[in-house]
Order: sequence, then C-alpha cells, then structure tokens
Amino acid sequence: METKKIICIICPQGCEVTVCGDKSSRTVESIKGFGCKRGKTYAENEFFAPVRILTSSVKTINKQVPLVAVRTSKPIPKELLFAGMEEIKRLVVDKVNSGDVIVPNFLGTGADLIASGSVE
Amino acid sequence: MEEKIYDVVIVGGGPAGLAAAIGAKEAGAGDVIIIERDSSLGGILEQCIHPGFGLKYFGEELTGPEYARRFIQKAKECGVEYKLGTMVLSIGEHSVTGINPTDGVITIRGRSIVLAMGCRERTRGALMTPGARPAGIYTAGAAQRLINRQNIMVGKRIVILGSGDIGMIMARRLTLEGAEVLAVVEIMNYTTGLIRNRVQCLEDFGIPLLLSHTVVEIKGNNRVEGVVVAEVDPATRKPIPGTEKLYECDTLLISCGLIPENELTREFGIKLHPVTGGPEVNQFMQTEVEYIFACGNVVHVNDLVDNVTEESLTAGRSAARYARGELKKPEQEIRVTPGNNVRYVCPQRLYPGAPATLFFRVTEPAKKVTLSVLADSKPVITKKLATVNPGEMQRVDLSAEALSGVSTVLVEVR
Repeated sequence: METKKIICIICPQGCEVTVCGDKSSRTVESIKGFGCKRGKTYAENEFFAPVRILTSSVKTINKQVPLVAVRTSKPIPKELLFAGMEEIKRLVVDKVNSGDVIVPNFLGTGADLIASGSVE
Repeated sequence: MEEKIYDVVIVGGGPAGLAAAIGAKEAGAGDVIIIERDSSLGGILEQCIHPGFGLKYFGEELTGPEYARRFIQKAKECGVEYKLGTMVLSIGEHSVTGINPTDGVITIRGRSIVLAMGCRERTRGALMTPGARPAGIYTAGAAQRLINRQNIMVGKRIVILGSGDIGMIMARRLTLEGAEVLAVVEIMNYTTGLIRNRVQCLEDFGIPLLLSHTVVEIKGNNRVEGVVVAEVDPATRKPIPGTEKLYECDTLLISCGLIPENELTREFGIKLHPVTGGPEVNQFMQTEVEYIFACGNVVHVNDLVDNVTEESLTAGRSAARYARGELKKPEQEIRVTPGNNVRYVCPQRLYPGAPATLFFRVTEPAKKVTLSVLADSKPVITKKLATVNPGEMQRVDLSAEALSGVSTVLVEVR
C-alpha cells in the first residue's frame, strides 16, 4: 500500500489529490481531494503509470537549420524520458516534414518519434 | 503608377500577426501584408518545442512549431502577403516604414494597421542584480533559442532566477539535455507561471523551488562561478541578512517577466498603459487611433497562445471592417477599471452596445472568491471562482445588453 499526493493539472485550480492504493494489483484503496471526474482519472493514471509527451530536437545535415524539433506521437512512460533523450542524441536527419515518422515504435512504447518542425 | 494601398498592414509575423492576417482575410479584407523582422514566420513559437499549445483553441496538445505551422499554412492559403527580414522603423499616418537589404527603406500604406510586435524579456540590467558581470548569464528565452534552434548548450550547472513559464520550461529542457539545475529561485511566495509547468517541469524532475528567495550576488570574473541566494521578507521582498547561501554554478538563467515591445507605438504617440505596458484597446482591439489595432503580447502579456490567437483574430476582423468604412470611433466609450484584487483589465475601453470579453489578472493569489462585474455600479455578473492566481489570466464575457446605456464598468474579486 502506498500513498501519494498528486497536484492535478487538468485545469488551473490545481487540486491536491491524495491517492492511496496498491500499484502491483492496480487497486485504489482511497482517493480524495479531486474536484471533478477528469481530475480523478488523471490522479489515478498519475498514481499507477504517469506518462508524458517527450519533446526534443535532433541534429540535421543542413548547416542553416542545425536542429529540427521532434516529439513522441503520444505520451510515453515518465521513467523512459531520459532513455528517450539518449536515443534522440544519436539521430541525424536530412530533409523532414512536420509529422514525418523518424523512429517508429520509439523505445517499444507504441508511440512514434515524429518531426514537429520541418527542414527543407 | 499609383501606389498600392493595402487594406491591412500587420507589424509582426508571430502568432498574433498570423491570426490577425487570417482574421482580416476571413472578414473580407483585400490585400493584407505581414512585415516580419526574422527570417521566418511563426515568431517565438518556433523555439517553443515543448507541448501544451492549442489545448483550448484546437482541443489537442501541440508543440509550438506545430501550432505555428497551422497558422502559417492558413495565412498562405488565404493569400496573405509577407515580407521577411524587414525591420519596421516607424509607424506613420496610415503607413508603416521598414528596412531590409533588398528594398532599402520602404513605406507600405494601409487603410488599417495592426500592431503585433509581441514582447521581450526583462534582463539582468532591468532587475539590477548586483555582482560581477561574467559570461554565462542568459534570459531564459535566449537560452531556449540557443538550445532548441541553434544546437548550442549554455552550461552544466544552472540556477534559474524567476519562476515564469519559460524559466520552468527551460529547467526541464536543461535537465533532459544533461545539465544539472540546482534551483529555481522566486522572489514571490508563489510561482508566477502556470501550475502545470510547476508540476511537469520542476516536480517531475525533483528540481528545488525556492519561494521567497532571490539572487543577491553574481560571482565570477570571466565566467559565472556562483550566485548568492538569500531569503526575502515576503512583505517587503527585501533580502534577510544572514540567510545568504552560495550556489556554485556556471550559468544563471533569468525568467523574470516579459515587457511588451512598444517603441513603435510610443513613438507614434499612442499612450501606453502603466500596468500592461501596452496600448489601451477596446473590445475590437482598436487603439486610441481609430485605424490602428493591436493584439497579442504587445497589448498585455498572455500565458496561453490560444488567447493570443483569439484576440488577434478579433483584431484582424476589426481591421478589415475599418478598412471598408466601419468601426469609426464612437462619441462616448465605456471606461473599464480594475477594482479590488484586480491588477488590470483588458480591454480598457468598450464600444457601447457590443458584446465584449474582458481578460484580467488578479494582484494576489486567493481561494473561494467572488468575481463581480459592475456596470454603472450595478452588478451585471457575479461568479464564484475556486482559485485565482496572478499567473493565470481570467476571462469574463459581457453581453451587448449589459453594455447598453452605461458609462463605466468595474471588475473586482473578493
């Protein structure tokens, strides 16, 4: 059993939600402090498996535009953010358009690493 | 040959200028041109590679370049002209004068003009932080451009002064890029940026946030070697002697507020509001000069680009209407004033008998408060708000009826 305080970011109110539960069996013993249904879902997800969109930039071979912005197509587990950065560091791209897939199934997460900027 | 007269001339090609151009075209304007000093359209969004844009306007989470791209494409599709690499030197009577290496000095004439120059960061000089003057001191936005667009890392051990959104976002960026962020130091007793940034940029990475603290000295001769941080008295915001602590670092980032960039506005003779630092506008984003409109951070600093887009679409539509002979200055305007715990309200003036959206910021954070809008001292809107923060802009919509036959509007939070 574990208790965690989570500040909800769904809206600017920033409710402090306290979740008490067991991560391995994915059961919530008690949850309080949320202000709405979306906040409750957010806090539960944060408690069990927090995810974030990772954004960064990758090197290009274009001297005028040395970097192009990239992102994961959907949120990935929070604990993979630094592993993702290591992977991104190794990449070099040529021409890309916003939305192009650079690495499919990034780190096996099911999310793709996509370009969010363009190099022509 | 007759000189071309544009319906709408827009100064600035960031999110505000782009939305104004699209708004103008959608409202039926003929020729519309954007004048931009950078080598590309999109403004500051191009370096804001983090997510969080468009949640309100598009209902999805985009990065800055993605958000900008949608508007750049749309502007091009609807035939907006633009001149890049062109620095505007002055605003004149129905004209804008600029300079670039190809054309030299050029004057572009327009029936309406839209000011969309955005804002810039407050610097160390403006803060008057004492100490040495070594290399390694950046505004947060300058560091953001270097790291995200130019592939230049700014340092290894970083202290960030100010908990504005760009500062917190850079704390996360620098951590992900392998630097160590020792602390974010904030003179106020609350974060000045958005809650979601405090959670996802600082707490996610365990970056210490020192509220009611400030940097009292910068050390180092050639390069920053450390900064001295002291606690401040929350009431006076003066450092408390004996609380000084040295943080050994090689870089100091400053994220202490943004200032609307209004040299052109002031030189043309338009008065600037003492609190917002921008021109006063009415709900059509029309300044005191009836053919000049203004939108985005040049009017007041916004926390969300989505709001900038919304008010800039209005500015563009209004500029198009003015170009075809509508929206002449009314004889009497309604005066909007901030009341209890309201720092400012934008727009500051209102056209009578037309609906309006008021944006405002509170002075102090508060919980469980009542927002009241009074027209000629009679309440027209009363609303309960769970939380208010200076860092989160509030809005309230007023109907045309509420604004008919009145001469003053007051907004207060108690």
